[in-house]
Amino acid sequence: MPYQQRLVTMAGYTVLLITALIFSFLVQQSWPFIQEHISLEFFTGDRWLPVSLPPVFQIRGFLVSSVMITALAIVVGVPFGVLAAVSLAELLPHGIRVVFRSIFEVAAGIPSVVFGFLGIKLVAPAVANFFNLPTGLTGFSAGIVLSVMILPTLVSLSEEALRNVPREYSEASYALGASRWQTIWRVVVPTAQSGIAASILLAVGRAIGETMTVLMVAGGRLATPSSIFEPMRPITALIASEVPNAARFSIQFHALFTAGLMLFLITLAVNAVAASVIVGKKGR
Amino acid sequence: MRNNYSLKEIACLVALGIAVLPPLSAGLYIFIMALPGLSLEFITAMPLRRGIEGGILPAIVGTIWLMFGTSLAALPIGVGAGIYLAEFAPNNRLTRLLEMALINLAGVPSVVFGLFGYAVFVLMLGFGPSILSAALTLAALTLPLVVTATRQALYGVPTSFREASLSLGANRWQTVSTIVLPCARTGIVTGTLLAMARAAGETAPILITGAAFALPRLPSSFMSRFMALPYHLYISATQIPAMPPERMWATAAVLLFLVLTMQVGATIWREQERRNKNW
Repeated sequence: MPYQQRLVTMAGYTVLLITALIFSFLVQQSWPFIQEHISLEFFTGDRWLPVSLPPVFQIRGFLVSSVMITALAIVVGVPFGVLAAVSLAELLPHGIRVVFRSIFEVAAGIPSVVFGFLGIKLVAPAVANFFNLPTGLTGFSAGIVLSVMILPTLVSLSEEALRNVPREYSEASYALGASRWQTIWRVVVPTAQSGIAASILLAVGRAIGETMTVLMVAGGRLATPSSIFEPMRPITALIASEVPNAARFSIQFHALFTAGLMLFLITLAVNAVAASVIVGKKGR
Repeated sequence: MRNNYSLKEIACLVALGIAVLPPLSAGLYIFIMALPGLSLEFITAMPLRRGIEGGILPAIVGTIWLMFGTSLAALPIGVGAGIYLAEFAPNNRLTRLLEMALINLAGVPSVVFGLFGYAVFVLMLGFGPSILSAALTLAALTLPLVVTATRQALYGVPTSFREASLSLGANRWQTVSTIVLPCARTGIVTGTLLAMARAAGETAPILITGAAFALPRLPSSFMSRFMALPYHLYISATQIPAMPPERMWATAAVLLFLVLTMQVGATIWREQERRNKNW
C-alpha cells in the first residue's frame, strides 16, 4: 500500500477520532459536576444560581424554553416547508424549479447571527406591537425566526424524498383516472412520508442546536417561562452566554459542560433516528 | 405538464412563495438599510470608541484569517477522509462506524463545538483565546462539509475511468491521484469554498474561543486575539446601546456580502463545470 493511501486512511479515521474526542471531552469536563452535584433536581428544578453560596444548578427552565421554541419553529415551518417541496417536486416546470432551489440554497448560507440581528430589528418590534407585549424579545419571536431558518433543510430533503418516488406509481395513479392533486396527495406524498419525516427530524435537530438566534432574540430571562410570549433562555443560549464568563474549572464551568453534553446527546439521538428512518426506507 | 392548477395546488404554490419571501426580502432589506453606513472608511479603518466610530477593518481581516486557518486544518483531513471513504474504504463495520461518526459530527450544534474547542485548544493545549483556537474549532465544525463534498465529487467520476486506468496497469493510488482526483477537482474546491463561507458566518464557536470586540489593531499571528464580522455584529446588536443602527446594518451587509459571494460564486462555478463535462 503506497504511503499516500495510508495518509488518506489516517485522515478518514481522524474524523472518527474527532467525534470520539468531542464526546470524551464533554464527559471529562462534565464529570466533576455529574459526580458531586447531579441529582433529579438538576432536571426538574427551576433555579439557576451559579455563583451564590452554595450554587444551585437546575435546568428545567432552559429545557422548557428549548422545547417551546423548537415546537413553534416546527409547527410554523413544516407546513410551508412540505408544501413548498411539493410545489418544487411536482408542480413547477424545471426552469422555475432551479431558480427556487437556488434561493433556498443561498438562504441556507445566511449566517445565523444575521437572522438573529433581523429578529432583533424587525421581528421582535413587530411581535411586541401585534400582541401588545412589553418586549418583543420572546420565545415566540425566536421560534418565528427559527421557522424561517429550518426551511431550507425541510424543503431540500422533502423535495428529494418526493422526487425519489418511482414514476410508475404516479403513472399507475393517472391511468386509474386520478387527477394530478389526487396523485400527489394520495400516492406521492404517502410514499415519500419516511423521507419527509426524516427531513422534519433533521429540522428539529437543527432548531434545538441553533444558538445565535435564540441568544439574541429569545430575551434571555432565566426564570422558567409559563408561556411562549415571555422572554426565555434556551439551553444553547445558556451555554453561549455563560461559558465566556465562567471561572475556568469552577463548578459552574462543569455544570455548563454537563448542559452541553445533554445537548450533544439529544441532537445525537434525533439525528440517529432521522438516519435510521432514511436507511430503513432504502432497505425496503 | 398541465399548467392550469387546481385550488389546492395553488395553495401549495402560495406556500412556496411565502417560504422564499423572508430570505429574499431580508437580503435586499439589509443592503438597503446598510447604504447610509457603508463608506470606504467603514471597511478600511480601525474601530474607534468601542466601534461607534471608525471602521471594521480588523473584523474583516480577522474573518479572512479565520477562514485561512480553518481551511489549512480542515482541507487536508477533510479531502483525505473524503478520498478514503469514496475510493478505499472496505465495506465493513468500521467503515459504517466512520460514516455514522460523520453524520453525527454534521449534526453537532455549533455551541457544542465551541465547548470542545474551549476545553481542548484554549485550555488543555494552551493556545489561549486566539485565531489558532478558533480556527481549529471551526475546522472541526466544517470537516463534515469538506468530507461530504469531496466524497460526492469523487462519486461523480464514472467507474469506467477507474477501470480504464487499472487495466493499463496503474495501481489504485495512481488511478485515484492521476485520473479520478483531477476530474473531481472543481467539486472539491467549490465544496471547500462553501464550507469556508459557513466558517466565516459562525458566531457561537468563536465567541467561546477567542473573538474580541473593537480591537484597534490587526492580528499579527495565529496566536493573536481577533475581531470577526459575526461576533462584531452580535456584540454591536446586543451589548452596545450607543451603536448607531446604520453601522450594524453595514456590518451585517459586509458579512452577508462576503458569505454570499463565496456561496453564489461556488455554486455558479460548480454548475458551469457540470455543464461543460463531456461524460
